Amino acid sequence: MIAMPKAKVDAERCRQCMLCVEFCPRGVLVVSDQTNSRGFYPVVMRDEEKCTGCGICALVCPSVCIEVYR
Amino acid sequence: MNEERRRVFISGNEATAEGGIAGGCRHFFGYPITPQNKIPEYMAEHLPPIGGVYLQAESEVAAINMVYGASSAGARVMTTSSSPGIALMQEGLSYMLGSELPAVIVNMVRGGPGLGNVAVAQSDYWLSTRGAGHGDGRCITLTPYSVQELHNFTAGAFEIADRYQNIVMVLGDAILATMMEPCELIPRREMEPPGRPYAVGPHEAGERERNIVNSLWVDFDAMEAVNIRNEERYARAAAEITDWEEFGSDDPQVLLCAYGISARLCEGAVMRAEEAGVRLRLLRPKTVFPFPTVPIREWSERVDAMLVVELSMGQFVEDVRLAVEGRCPVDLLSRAGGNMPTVSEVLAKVREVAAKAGVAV
Amino acid sequence: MQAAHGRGPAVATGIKRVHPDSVVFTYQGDGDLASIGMAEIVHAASRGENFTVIFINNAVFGMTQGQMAPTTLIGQKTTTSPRGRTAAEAGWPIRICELLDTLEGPAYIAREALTTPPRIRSAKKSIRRAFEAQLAGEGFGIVELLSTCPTWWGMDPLEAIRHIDDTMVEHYPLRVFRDRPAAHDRPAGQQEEAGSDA
Repeated sequence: MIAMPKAKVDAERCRQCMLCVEFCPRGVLVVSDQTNSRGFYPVVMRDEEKCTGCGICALVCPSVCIEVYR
Repeated sequence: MNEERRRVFISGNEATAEGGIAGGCRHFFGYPITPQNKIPEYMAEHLPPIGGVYLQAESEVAAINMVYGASSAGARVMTTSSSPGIALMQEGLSYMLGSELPAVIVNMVRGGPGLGNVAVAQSDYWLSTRGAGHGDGRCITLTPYSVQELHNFTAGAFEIADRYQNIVMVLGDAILATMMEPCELIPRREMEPPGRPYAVGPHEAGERERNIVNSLWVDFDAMEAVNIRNEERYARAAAEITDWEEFGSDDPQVLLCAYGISARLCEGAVMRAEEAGVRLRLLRPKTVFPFPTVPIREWSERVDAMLVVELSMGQFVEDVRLAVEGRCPVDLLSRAGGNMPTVSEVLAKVREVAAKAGVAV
Repeated sequence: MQAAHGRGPAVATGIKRVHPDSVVFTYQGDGDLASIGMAEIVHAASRGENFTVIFINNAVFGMTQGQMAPTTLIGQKTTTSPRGRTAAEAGWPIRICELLDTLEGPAYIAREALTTPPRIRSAKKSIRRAFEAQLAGEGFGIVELLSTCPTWWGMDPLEAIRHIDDTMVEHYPLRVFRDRPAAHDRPAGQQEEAGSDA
């Protein structure tokens, strides 16, 4: 079985800058309705099925808090 | 080991430079300033052929920061300058004290404040012993009084710097820098890594923890710990390396205190003491930080008065008075701007001081 | 190894001269490199020191809370140019890459922008190339990265990116200014080639 590619956001380090949401070509990332311990609403994966693992979210993330597995 | 020592006739500047090489220095960063230009010139001539690095920096500020980098990388490194240049280096010196790094700095003091002149002065006493730059940190300060001592002290300064992980300042002056004397040269030490476990540099993965050289301590206690560590090393240095020399009457009425070139002058006064009709002794510190507080205090209980001779308006004299703590009168003979008192003027002042103290002259 | 503000290139020179085989780089902002450290960067570049400089230009002093930098654009408001920078009061913003490109020493000079994914990929390439130049002993490399400061620009992160792409790049064109071994490694008498456009 081939593992599905997916992007994983470290919610604690996310500062909700929204660049990954803006640049994601598949629109699979959204803002959570729960804050992290620093008071930000971190980005979470909404639709893992549609994630292609292209890595653009990780590329643009200034907080270096997204890892992409493919 | 009995080494053959070569005796040569050289200037204080050359003796200092060769002293650095003898002490294991193979990295020199500097910027030209009179009256010490012969030192960088000597290093430019002699370091590259033996595998060393000479680099003329774009400023004293850059030079001291190159020293900071080279020291953090584990090298025995030195720079030399004169008063206005040393003032510019205060930033880097302070960072090195904060990062607890060794280095050797030579200051061939000239007249000031401001651009001043290029003549002899001892007016950087406070600059050398009271700091470097901002913050709680001080430079171990050596005060040679001859070409030979410039050579020996500079060579020995690297051991002291490494032992205490601290800057060592060699305090010369425009006369010592430029005068020529016979000097017995210490054989050049091989360049060897001084074994600094805290230095940055190449290492195999897993061989050791990665080293970080840093003087930023945001945490209050971490900052205070650095300040306390520094105080502890100064206390250790005071116990271990405080050095001075005495010369003259064993039962003095007046004690002369002077360092560096002034001590040279005072030696002449002691030799002619009978002209003043006063029993004279000279105490000359070879280190002024740490300061020979103990012998000066001891003499203060046995002499009628002390006379400090220095080529500044009264800097060194403050440390003498701190050691004496009012036990005897401490007078000052000072000249500045490139002027020096003559031996006769010193003796005249000795008579005056003795008379004031009630010594039958 | 922490250097004093602006002195990174001097400290790096000291380290590299002791350990020529170690990879050495500095990470400097625009206040650090283009203001207080201007002498150190120019002379390290001129000497062709074999290390790499990562230069973050966000046109503002961020760490000290938003003062004008030497790279602040004309008209840009900062806490110390509250009515916007004017050339009459504060002079013009300094273009570091163009300035260093007048020197023989550097092997690699590029300006990139950390905005869109293609531009970030290009920046990665330049950084890689600058380090490769160091590893090959070609000499000094600098990569200027136009970067945002949403906090002190008073913009949200996306607006800030667009500000770079729409406005900042007009004053700071993205370009590889230099990509060749340092001049002192080349045969004497040979003319320099013009830098190639990215």
